[in-house]
Amino acid sequence: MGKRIDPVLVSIMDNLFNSIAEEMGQTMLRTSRSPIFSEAGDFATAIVDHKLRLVSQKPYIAVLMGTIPFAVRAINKSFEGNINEGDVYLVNDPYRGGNSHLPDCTVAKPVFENGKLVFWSVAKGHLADIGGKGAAGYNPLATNIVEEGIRIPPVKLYERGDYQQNAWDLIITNVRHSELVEGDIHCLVGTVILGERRVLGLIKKYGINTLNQAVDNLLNASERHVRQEIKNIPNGVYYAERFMDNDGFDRGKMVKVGLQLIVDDDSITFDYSNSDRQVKGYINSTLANTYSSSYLALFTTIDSNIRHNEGAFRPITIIAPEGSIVNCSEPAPCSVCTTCAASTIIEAAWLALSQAVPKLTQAAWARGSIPVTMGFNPRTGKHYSNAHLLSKGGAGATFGFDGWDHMGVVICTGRLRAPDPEMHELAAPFSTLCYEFLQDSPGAGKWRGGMGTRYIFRVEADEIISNNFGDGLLPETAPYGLAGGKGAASSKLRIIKANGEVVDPEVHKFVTLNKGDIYEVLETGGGGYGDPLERPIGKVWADVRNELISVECARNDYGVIIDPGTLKIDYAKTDEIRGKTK
Amino acid sequence: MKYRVGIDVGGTFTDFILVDDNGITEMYKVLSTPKDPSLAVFNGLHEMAEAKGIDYREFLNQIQIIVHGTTITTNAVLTGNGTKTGFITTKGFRDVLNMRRGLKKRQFDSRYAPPPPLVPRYLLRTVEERVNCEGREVTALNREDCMDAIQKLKDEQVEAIGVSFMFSFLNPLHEQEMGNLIKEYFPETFVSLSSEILPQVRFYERNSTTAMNAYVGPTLKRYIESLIARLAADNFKGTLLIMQSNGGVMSPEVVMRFAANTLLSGQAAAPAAGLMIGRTHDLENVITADMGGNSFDVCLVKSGKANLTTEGEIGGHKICFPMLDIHSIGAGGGSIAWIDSGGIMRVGPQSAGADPGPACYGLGGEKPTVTDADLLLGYLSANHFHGGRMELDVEAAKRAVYDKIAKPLGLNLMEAAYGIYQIINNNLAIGLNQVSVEKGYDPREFSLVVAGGAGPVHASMIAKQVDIPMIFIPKYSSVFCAAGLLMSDLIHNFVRSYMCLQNKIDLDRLNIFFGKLRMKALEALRSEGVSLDRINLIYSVDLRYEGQFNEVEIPLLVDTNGVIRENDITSLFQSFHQRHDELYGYSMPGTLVELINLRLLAKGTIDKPPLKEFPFLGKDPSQAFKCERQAYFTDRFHNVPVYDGAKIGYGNLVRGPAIIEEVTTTLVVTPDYNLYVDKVNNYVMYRKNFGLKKLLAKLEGRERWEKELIRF
Repeated sequence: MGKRIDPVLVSIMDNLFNSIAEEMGQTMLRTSRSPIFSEAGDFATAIVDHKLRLVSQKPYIAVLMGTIPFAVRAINKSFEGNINEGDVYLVNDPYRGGNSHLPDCTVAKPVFENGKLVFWSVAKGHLADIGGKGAAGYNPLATNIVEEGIRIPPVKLYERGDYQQNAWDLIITNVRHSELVEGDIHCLVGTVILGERRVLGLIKKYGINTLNQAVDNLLNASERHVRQEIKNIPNGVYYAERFMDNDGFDRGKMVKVGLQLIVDDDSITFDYSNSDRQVKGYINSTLANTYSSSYLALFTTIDSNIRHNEGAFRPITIIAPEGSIVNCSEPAPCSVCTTCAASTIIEAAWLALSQAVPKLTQAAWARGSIPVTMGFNPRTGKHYSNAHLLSKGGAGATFGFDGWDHMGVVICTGRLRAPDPEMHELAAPFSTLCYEFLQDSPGAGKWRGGMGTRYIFRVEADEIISNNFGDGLLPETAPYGLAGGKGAASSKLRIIKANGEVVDPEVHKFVTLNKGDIYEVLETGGGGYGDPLERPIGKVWADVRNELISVECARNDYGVIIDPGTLKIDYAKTDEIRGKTK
Repeated sequence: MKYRVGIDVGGTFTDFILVDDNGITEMYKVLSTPKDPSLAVFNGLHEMAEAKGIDYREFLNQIQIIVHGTTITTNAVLTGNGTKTGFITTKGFRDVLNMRRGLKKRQFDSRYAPPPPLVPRYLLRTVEERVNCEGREVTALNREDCMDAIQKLKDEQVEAIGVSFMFSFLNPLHEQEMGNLIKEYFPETFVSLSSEILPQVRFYERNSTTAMNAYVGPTLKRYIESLIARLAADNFKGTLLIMQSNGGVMSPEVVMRFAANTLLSGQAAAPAAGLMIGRTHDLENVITADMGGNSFDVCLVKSGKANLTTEGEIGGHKICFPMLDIHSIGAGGGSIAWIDSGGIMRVGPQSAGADPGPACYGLGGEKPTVTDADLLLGYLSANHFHGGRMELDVEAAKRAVYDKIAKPLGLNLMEAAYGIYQIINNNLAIGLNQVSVEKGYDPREFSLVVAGGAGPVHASMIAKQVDIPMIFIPKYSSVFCAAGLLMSDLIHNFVRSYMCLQNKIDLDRLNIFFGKLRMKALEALRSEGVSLDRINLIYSVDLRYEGQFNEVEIPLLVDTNGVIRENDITSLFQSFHQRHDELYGYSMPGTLVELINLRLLAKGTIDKPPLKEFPFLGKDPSQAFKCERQAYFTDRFHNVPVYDGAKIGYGNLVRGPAIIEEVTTTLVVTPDYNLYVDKVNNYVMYRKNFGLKKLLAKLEGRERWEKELIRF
């Protein structure tokens, strides 16, 4: 416990530390160049103290929320005794650097006061490219992390303020779109410098001793807050398991995440011992990613106002056996862990939590089947790579609320901004033919899932490499419903070649797209919550009038009989069905 | 006598400011009439005529100009009571408008619903047509689809239709054809074409702005038409101007077409009002802060120009018309203090509102608010709130602060009250930082202009935190925006996309594009009767580094003929690198810069009313002394003099700590500050270590201060 100081000061410090992380996030958002970074907001910013405790953070992509301390600890360990004022570090390696996967680079700057290290200013984001054979960093053929891109253990980008040409050159030489990557690293460095400047401002104003005491106190407060929330979850052991489609090699075999969730008074344990061993392909989850996904599942279920700092993590224990799918060992590939594995872990955790606190838990979101493509765009005369996030699916429903539409992968919890359709065509050689809600895609329920998306595009250039780094194409991996709500169907993919041939692109596989090919993604909606027969008739009717669901769906799932021509409700029949089935 | 009238419609009161030829200014307030806001407008006009002792019709005859700020469109959006609106878009893209780019703001909160759509899906129709990203037609407009869409929307009896097609900003022909068909076959409906109102890239943002314009168009049109008719019937022969969200005014004819331009006009007059106060002393850098019961609105004005943003949002929907960059945070006098489950004390964002309001209102509120703290600290007086119209319940405030904050935290009552004051001030200071420091501006170069009922109580503490040495509090603090209306100029914004890389700029094309914008601008101002010598055109370009996704708007300096030369472009890029560095801490001068949008802001200067100067009273404020009372600062109560705002005047100097009571607000001069009353009777608070001499040199000009004010 920290020494007791003025509670008013603690509150003020807490707000100030948070506003610093926010401002750093704004800088990232506005200046980055990698589309995954700035359009989708795949980054996080944070302030960490000299004891390597997370003080405040702004995780735009929620699944980065627990990863930053791992990276800072790795940097600290590598350079212990040689960390100096003016240094800036970069790391991307999960095994030597505590990172989640290679495309996410963590940049950290130690903040000094009178020659003493007092804080770290940290930013982490997904770069436009990280080398290797993958499209936008994802290589489904990799069986070893070295095939996924350049591995960077903690290095100094600046040493005592001096630009380290050799480190920069080494990184920039090993990636495509080097000018974009260099720009993004500049953006990360600019962000941590800004964070440092603001922390120094706080130190000047309040003094380092006061700040340190305030940090102790505010971390303890967050810990108390979380313990209070966990106390509201009934004690017990809850088990759930969820699967990933396959690892890209053994296509017939789903991969399991098995979770035993133990709630004991004011602490909670996520025990993943019953999960599969690590696999050949890139769906393995690193420890940092498993921690982060577990935190995300819990913090989207309990009070959403909790500050996500080191104190908030203290009541949470995570057991993830080494060499398993949730804590892979070097040199396992792991680049899609932040989407596929993370979503699966979150689903398992929500499913377990739903047994304890059903009214607080969400039904599953669409997993996300996202084509990532790269190649040469003849119109602009440039190489490009991007992720087709126009295919975002629906969110799961929860007690009292329909799921949100077109939210995309659950790891982003709604912060994943879809690309602008015009900007998308201006940058990449595709014509979008359809970008609309997918009728009948949500799982039915008293509160239905969010709408999925029908996304179809035509390829306008030859020799485009595509990989769908998705999941959720099987009935077992489609979104589940809760409390009597129905699950959604699985997502569907197909390519209609220019010559009329129809091809199944599957997931985790390179396919070559050529001019005139049409790629179709039918991305599913979210799972439903509660008995669909209890959904108010007026709401079902409105969904039919809005053509979000069909009259067949209204009849079969909701027991509401609507005339397809006049849209008149047959109340007598409806009452009969709804009454009878109940 | 000739009069000018500023009319600002607010939620509770409709504020009026009346200025005559001699600069004599009076303020009036009448209760707002939300059902038909124009009732309050006419009630106020009647009241003013009566107060002046002039026949109502004769009074209207003597009004030269009325500048009107209305919240009619804002309310329509916030209450979901806009027009039944249809929307027609490119086949295959039906849901872009309602997908809202698939964003959810409160990431960790699963228990809230998205904003209701402006246009429900059954009123969203698609037609076959397509223009590609080079502006070429790849699929012709299907006339049958068009007729079908029109018929469906006609059957549904929509009152307005928005039309937005893919890449119409590059090639508007399909949209125009669609627009013509609607006009021909459904002439009674209000039409809004995206290529006409916002010809710039980004489909969702353009769709949303277009739909919003249609959604509020008929509402605004009806309101303004009936206002004009009734004013004319009542013998008004002057000019009526309407305030827009961009801080400028527009003629009613133009504003009806760009209705969405009035959506955030409520606070848009604040910067003009702030600048008016700054300019009394030749100060061109001000930050305005308006603090009421529920919100704190901040706007930064640099070198006489308020920043605009094209990333506005209302009711969860994007609106990309340029509007003043007013930063609003949920903190005000009604903000509730509470303790979270971790034991940390928080203030806001929940507010007690007006009912039940703060505990001290005695209307049944039990939660401690900022106003309760201000009362316990002695800043507010129990029997002088709102000029004594409302007695405050000190015991209720004590109970609320003690039970909910002091006791659980182990603090004494005053520590808890002062804690509330400090935490809210810190939140407000963060808000000020967000518009200044975080945007690359040094707050020390600015003066703070504070308005609103709760603002002057907190002003000096906030200013101290962000290091602003000088604070102005206008005499008409509570009708601040109404005053600003009369200080605003005519402003029109024009935009077109020109996406190209730095090394591929075609100077001739650039000149042609800007030339067209210039023609439109001159035409718009000419139609409002502005002579050439009063027209000011400001050119700018949205730029970014190649591959970035967000632009920075950079002014393009051109000669008076509007001809752009090679070296204008060179300095444009130099300014971009510099501004990028200011904003984000780095720049990349070796990297190619990309142009996105060309912008032109056209300003028509309007004559401003003169400001009346008051007689010099000397520094001794004793004529205004009312009493002494106890006020708490830092850790103890001080005996503090209280002055009557009605009696204080030019030249009076008050040393902090002190309190000045105005009818609708209270000024708290903290121990670190002094207060001076300037020649137009505005209050100036300044840091003690700033020094009176320096202040006067700055406010009055060295010469005048040395000659005339030597009596100090």
